Amino acid sequence: MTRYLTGRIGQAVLVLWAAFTVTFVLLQALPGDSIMIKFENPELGLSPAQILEVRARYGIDEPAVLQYIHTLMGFLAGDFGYSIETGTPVLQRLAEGLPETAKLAAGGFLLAVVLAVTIAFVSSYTRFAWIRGVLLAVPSLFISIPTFWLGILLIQVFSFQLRLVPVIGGTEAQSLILPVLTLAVPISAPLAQVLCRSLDAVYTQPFVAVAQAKGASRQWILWRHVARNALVPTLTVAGLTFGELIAGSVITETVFGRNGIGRLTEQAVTAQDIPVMQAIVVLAAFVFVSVNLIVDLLYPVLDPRLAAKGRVAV
Amino acid sequence: MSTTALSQAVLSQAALSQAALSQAEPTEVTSAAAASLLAVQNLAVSYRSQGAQTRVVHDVSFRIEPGEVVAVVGESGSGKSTTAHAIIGLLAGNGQIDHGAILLNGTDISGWSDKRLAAVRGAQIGLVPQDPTSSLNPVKTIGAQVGEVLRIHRRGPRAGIRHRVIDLLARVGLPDPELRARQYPHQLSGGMRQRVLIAIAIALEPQLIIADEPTSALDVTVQRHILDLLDGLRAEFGTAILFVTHDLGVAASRSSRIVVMQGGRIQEQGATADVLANPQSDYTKRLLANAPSLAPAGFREARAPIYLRDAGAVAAENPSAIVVSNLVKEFGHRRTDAFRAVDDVSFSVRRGTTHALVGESGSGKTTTARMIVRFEQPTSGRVEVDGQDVAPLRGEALRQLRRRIQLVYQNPFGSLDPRQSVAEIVAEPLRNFALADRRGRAARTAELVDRVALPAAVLERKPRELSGGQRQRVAIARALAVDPRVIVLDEAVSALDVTVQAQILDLLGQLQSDLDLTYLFISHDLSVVRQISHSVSVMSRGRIVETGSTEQVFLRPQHDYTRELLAAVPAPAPVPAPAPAPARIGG
Repeated sequence: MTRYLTGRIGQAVLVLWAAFTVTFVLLQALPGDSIMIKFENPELGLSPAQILEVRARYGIDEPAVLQYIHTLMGFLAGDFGYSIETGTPVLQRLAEGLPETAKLAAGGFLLAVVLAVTIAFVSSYTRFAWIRGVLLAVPSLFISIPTFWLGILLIQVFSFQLRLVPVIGGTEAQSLILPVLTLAVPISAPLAQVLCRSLDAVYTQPFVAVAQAKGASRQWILWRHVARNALVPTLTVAGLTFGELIAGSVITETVFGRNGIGRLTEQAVTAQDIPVMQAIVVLAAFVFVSVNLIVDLLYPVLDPRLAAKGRVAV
Repeated sequence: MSTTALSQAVLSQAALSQAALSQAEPTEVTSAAAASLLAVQNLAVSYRSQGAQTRVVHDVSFRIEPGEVVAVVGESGSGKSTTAHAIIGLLAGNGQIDHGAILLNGTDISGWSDKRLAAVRGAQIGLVPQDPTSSLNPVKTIGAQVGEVLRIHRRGPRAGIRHRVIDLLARVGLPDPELRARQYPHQLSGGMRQRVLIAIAIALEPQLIIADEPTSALDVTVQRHILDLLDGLRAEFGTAILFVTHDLGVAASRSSRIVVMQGGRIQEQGATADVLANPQSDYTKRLLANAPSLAPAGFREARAPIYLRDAGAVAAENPSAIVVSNLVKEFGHRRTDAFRAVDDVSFSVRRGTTHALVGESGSGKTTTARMIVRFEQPTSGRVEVDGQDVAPLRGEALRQLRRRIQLVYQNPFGSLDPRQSVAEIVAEPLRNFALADRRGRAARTAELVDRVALPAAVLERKPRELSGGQRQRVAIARALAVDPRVIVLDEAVSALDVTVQAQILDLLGQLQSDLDLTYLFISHDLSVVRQISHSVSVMSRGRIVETGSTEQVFLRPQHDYTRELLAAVPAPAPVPAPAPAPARIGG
């Protein structure tokens, strides 16, 4: 098990390094120079010599290879450099945004799971074909809704028409309701779809018939036999939807004016703030890789057959 | 026994409430039927699909007395499993009982809801399912799954359940029951899992156990142990058993009465010895004639090939189509955990004959076959096909090898591309090897389909429109397309019903003599091997324990393992002196 764990962590580190490197190369290749854009502005009245000095301070006068090594060393030491736009440390900007986004993402993910589980379990448990039909159509609908449109619609209906949730002000919980909902809806769709399908697949397994032959009721079979078996494929998708969660938070935070990592991303891209972008990509990759590592480690807990395989394979 | 008394009480109460509710269709209940443990009367079951009702069980009636073993025998599609499932209300979602009665101790349970049946299932009627590998929940421990049936029916104190579970596991002959209770299904062999399922079925000492093909997925020696176990439990607890099987040999050796079903109808029923000795319906007669384990003896002798008559030709030709020497296959990466699936295997097959590789699952027979057709790379050793060493072949040379050696798989459902038509399937090898132009291919395809005795009309059909036997014929036609010298048949008839199996074996024999083919026949089924092969190698744990002519191996086995295998083949119980014949329904 330890060997399996070290192997998987090694892989995760490799992925992070690759994400860092690819981002670095891509950002280098971008046309335009954010420092020039910002400091050559005649209103600032900086002399060419002063601009050169600024460039040196940001370390962009060095050859690309040296820059790469310096930036990488900095990242390893926890120093992400300085934001070009504000001049503050990138770490500080991330630290400001992270709690907001963490709340939004955690809430969105939880709600997505609740939505998906409700849709899947009710549709598989109901005896009415029409309820099942309606519920099974819901995920396709959810996945087709654009996030920005849903966000605007929710503000229109709940804040302006029904006046249930204030747009500005209000408690923190109130301000979270609509963004969380906006984020959760598209993420719940693939989860619900996979869960529905795995529930159906598990129901056809002979061990379900055996459980019935033992005299088990429908609830008993659903909770004690089917649910856990259906969870494994769903968990895989749940890990992958974290990528969508990150992408979704950019739009959601922009629409709802929340100062989180998503908003920061949008600002950094607009201003071509390369150090910030670099840090955000690495942060996103880190979260994604960690979540999927946890998912991988959860498999053997849910399905003992995978524990055996994991031990043999590594 | 308190549990039995309790279950009686539950049932009689259920009977009362049923009687009170009984405005449902009145079914004539004869006093004899009421006295039986189970009486199925005029049962009709149909499945609904795409708006159409298809009746699959027609007017089936039979009875089971307490402590009796009744075998329902039939081929796939005969309605035998549907009948068994209808008894405990476990029909698939689109199935329904159209009419008829299912009397359990005189109470009609055919119209009961799932909720009411739940009290009967497990407590009154136990089920031993067909496929032990998928019939246990993979994420729960064995102990939890055996204990579940006690928990559902709330028998005994919670604390006592663990103890009962271990008792039960010991009772069904599992070694080290405490350990087994903590293990998960995948840590147990197929035979052990079937024992666990039997433990579940007998946990509440039901009066009736429905065993639905309980051994068809198991190796022949394991099969015998499981059947012995069921017999022993019946003798001990007086449990009646309804045995659903396609294997006439199993039915003959284990039941006191037989019900023969075909096309959803009962063809014949009566005491087992009577039905076997003196079958009344044509269908039963045909079934008996086709059942390999019951067929009269007679071994295939390799006829002297033509070249043996000419001394000059003998010198020039290699008489062996396949020569395998010191073949080894290891799986696993490191030397420490390497697993030897095939261990120093050598044998040769004479041209134009059939050689059988016999063994139980895990014996390495399939791995050996896969190395001969070079789907696996041997770890070491030599494989000669038609005089050429195929072990080192790669790339194009390996591809060309497939023109001389072809494979027919066990599963005729999985080995045909469902999106291709039969014509496309059979012509594909011709296209891959560019053996003919479009018109030539069409002509050759038609010829091949004709060769395997399929009507030309199947050419345009898709595999799903064909029966299992027809699909296997298509697979054989495809294998023949490139005119191979050798065909490896990997359990090629194991998935087929006996009558279809007999037809395919006939076809294979015919093709062999017409085309001078050499067969390597992989099988676990000794009775089939006895029919088709000229020579046999018996494999066990990766090694060949015995090789020889079929006659020699079957009549004078040298190795203990071979003897054990042969002894495990179900044979009909010694037929007792004919008793006065009980009532029999002829077909």
